[in-house]
Amino acid sequence: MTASAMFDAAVARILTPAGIDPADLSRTLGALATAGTNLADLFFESKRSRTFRLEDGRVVGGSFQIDQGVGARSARGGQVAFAHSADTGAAALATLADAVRALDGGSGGEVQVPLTVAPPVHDLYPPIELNGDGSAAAWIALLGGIDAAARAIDPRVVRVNAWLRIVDQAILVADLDGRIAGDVRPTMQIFIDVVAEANGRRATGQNGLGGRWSTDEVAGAPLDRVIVRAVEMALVNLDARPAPTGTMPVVLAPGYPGVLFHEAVGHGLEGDHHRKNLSAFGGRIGERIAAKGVTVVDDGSLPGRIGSLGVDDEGTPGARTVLIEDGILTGLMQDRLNAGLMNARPTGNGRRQSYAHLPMPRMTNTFLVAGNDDPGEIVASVKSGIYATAFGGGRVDIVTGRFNFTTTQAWLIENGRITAPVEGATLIGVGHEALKHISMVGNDLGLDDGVANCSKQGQQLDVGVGQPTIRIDRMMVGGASS
Amino acid sequence: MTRLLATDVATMEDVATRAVAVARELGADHAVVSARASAGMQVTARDGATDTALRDARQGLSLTVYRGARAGTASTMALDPVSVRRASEEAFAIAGLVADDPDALPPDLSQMATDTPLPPLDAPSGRDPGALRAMALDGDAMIRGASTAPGTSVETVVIDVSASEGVVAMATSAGFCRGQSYSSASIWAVALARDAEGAVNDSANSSDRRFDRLDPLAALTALAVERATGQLGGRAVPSHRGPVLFEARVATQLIGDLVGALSGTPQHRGSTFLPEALGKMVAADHLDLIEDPFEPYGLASGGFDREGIAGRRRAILNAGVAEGYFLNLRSARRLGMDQTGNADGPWNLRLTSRASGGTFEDLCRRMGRGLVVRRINGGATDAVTGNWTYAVAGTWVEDGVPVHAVTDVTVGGNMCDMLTGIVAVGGDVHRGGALRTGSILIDAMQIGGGA
Repeated sequence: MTASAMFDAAVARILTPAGIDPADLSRTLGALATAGTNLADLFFESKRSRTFRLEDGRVVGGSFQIDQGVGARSARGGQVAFAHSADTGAAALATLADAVRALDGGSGGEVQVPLTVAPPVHDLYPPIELNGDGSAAAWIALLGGIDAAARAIDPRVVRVNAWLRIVDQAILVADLDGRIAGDVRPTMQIFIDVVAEANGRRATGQNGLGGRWSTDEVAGAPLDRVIVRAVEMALVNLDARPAPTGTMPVVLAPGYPGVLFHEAVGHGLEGDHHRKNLSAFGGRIGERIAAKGVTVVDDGSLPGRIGSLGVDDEGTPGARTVLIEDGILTGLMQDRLNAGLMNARPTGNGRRQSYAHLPMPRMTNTFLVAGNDDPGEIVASVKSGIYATAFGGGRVDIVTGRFNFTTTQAWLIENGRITAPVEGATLIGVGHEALKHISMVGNDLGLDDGVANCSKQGQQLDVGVGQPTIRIDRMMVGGASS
Repeated sequence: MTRLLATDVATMEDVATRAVAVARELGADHAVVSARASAGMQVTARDGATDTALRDARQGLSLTVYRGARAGTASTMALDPVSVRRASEEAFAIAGLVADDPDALPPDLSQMATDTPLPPLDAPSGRDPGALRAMALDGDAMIRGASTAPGTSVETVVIDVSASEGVVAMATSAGFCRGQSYSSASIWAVALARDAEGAVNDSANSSDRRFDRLDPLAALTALAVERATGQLGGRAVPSHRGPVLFEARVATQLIGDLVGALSGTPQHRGSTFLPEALGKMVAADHLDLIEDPFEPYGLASGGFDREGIAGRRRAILNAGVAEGYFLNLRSARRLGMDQTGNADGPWNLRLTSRASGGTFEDLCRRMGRGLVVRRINGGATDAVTGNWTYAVAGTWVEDGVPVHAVTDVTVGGNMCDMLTGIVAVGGDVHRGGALRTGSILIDAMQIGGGA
């Protein structure tokens, strides 16, 4: 692609339809800046989404959504004024600047802010449009085949629901320092929910797939694998018994179980929590918080991943930040506001749910780097414990560092062998303590399949999580059984 | 009176009606349109200064068009004629691609809430951003100025004061056209307490449609400080099976899980731990759960749902027996039942017990020795099996008296057993959104702790 293809595509989808040009942005940025303003930006978004639902073997409930607008922010020190508008015309931009100034009590200038810094370029994903004209039929066909495929795997499958989401997001951001950047981000996600029944008992299994992919890249083997996994989970859970309760060794499979590091480490290393002295990791940078061999990174620059960003929502290129290096706490994730106030550099983690939300430091793809242990030997090393391959999400309390996550597919380990499946159990720990109990790190790093999302202060975003197989020597496992 | 919102019900009804006409021009057999607009402001403060000041303004239109029994939906935030036509065309195109779904057809006009009473929901705050800023700064000062035990300090994580107004209007090709305006306001206070061992935070909040009915700022900030300082020194308890008392504000979680199990889609899919529950005893026989859509200024009140159908005051649980589901029109048809007007979820719900539970302190005395759950930090309910495991924090009670804060514990059980195992509901009623309940005492659950 040409160096500016991504930026040109963003301009074509945002500025051109609104009838505005960079001069309008320069004028509005000047009007946003008041005495003492250290940061001001305009964030434009244009989003086209389609969703389809599969139920009883039929694709029903199709929807199409147009979201577009602009958010205007101005900050003096840590005090932020913010307003947004669904109207992106020149007159609306002037009104928006007035609204922001009214909130922060300052009076704006007449100067223009020249946009002189060249937009960054990237090749992490192509500027394709997944929702282009005539594209819906191919997506519907993809979704429509899932019911029959799942039922063909096992007669105990009694119900199949699936859900497809296809999003084309274009963003353009310009700021007081004269930077302008644009990006177009295609996203597709498909989720499958299977109910199986045997002997009067029902159980569910879920799986999904997401990425910056077209129908051709999803059809066939990738989608078949998702269907098989959802059915297998439902069948396994048909036999599951209440999980045991107590402190025990836990082995976590590669991929999505890496949500452990998103919760236990990631959130506590977001810059805003450190600037406000709210994180349990505050003052611990440079300390050993995990065993040697434990390295955790946040990397927004992995090609094709759903958590990857050519530029973040403040125009900073996606990058790799080492959070824990060989057991030592090393890095924070920053947006522009918090980096500026902490005398640090933005790390490409400034993200927002939409133009109507303020950006914050947020994770991209966060994972534990591979070690040297053989996954089979990791399981074999446990006399009595839990082996978990799937989780329903997790939560963390930033202040205390206490995190939890709940299994959706897990088994007992007895004498080094995986035995009986167990129902959901909630695993708990404290971030700066739990990681010290990681004693084995597998050589089988995997990232999740593009289905993870993250909520922070009510804002939802797609992220990536991952890890190789690991053994944690001591973890509190809370089930419904003794 | 200062209004945040620049539009009104009549204008949005007109927007919706015009969109119906556009869809019919395209050839749609039926069309259902919902148009909405809202405006709000929010100020947060901490550390003696405002943190953020936000103006919020939203609008949107959602339209579902039908070609025979095929439906397509589209929505747009822009309400100009070109955008509305584009959305209509998209919806019409989708309806040409998907399968028949006759259960999803819109209701007849005779089924709709054309003349039912509309509960009052609109009480504009009359505040400007300056008034909210002053309140937020006051609240921050109250937290930072709270007196605490020696060796303990308190700070503000955030004080958040917000007010908003909105209007929603619905029009259909069957001739329905109604709208309603509403308001909402909230204060959210989060305090952080520190001692030599570390820090904990906790919150208190108040939400109401009437700004003047919000809990007093001083009471909320004092509660947030009390909750945060009360968790200092928390420690685990040993794993055991025993009684659990869910404080009212977290007991709403249990009602939320019950609502999910009795909702139409899980019921017709068989994805619920209470399948075919109507007429069956699903909870302890002293429990009633009453739904009321018409409570004046209720947080979950309304004259009709998004399908234009009214709810009614009714029993969901009557002496522990399930008497009602929460149905939208599609799930009602699939189950062969009457509509209930719950396309937007439950209306206001109130859990009560026929046996007096007394105060929170009475419930502690009744429990004798056990765990009070004051926070649910995360976990999951399996909608199909009812398996329920959560990470919690709270207080340990001995001889009916709180003795120390508890943290790093889990609570596990099965919802079916938990509902029948409710032995008392307190008179200390908390309202969280649509749900009202007192504290709930359950006879026996699995507690996990590493102590």
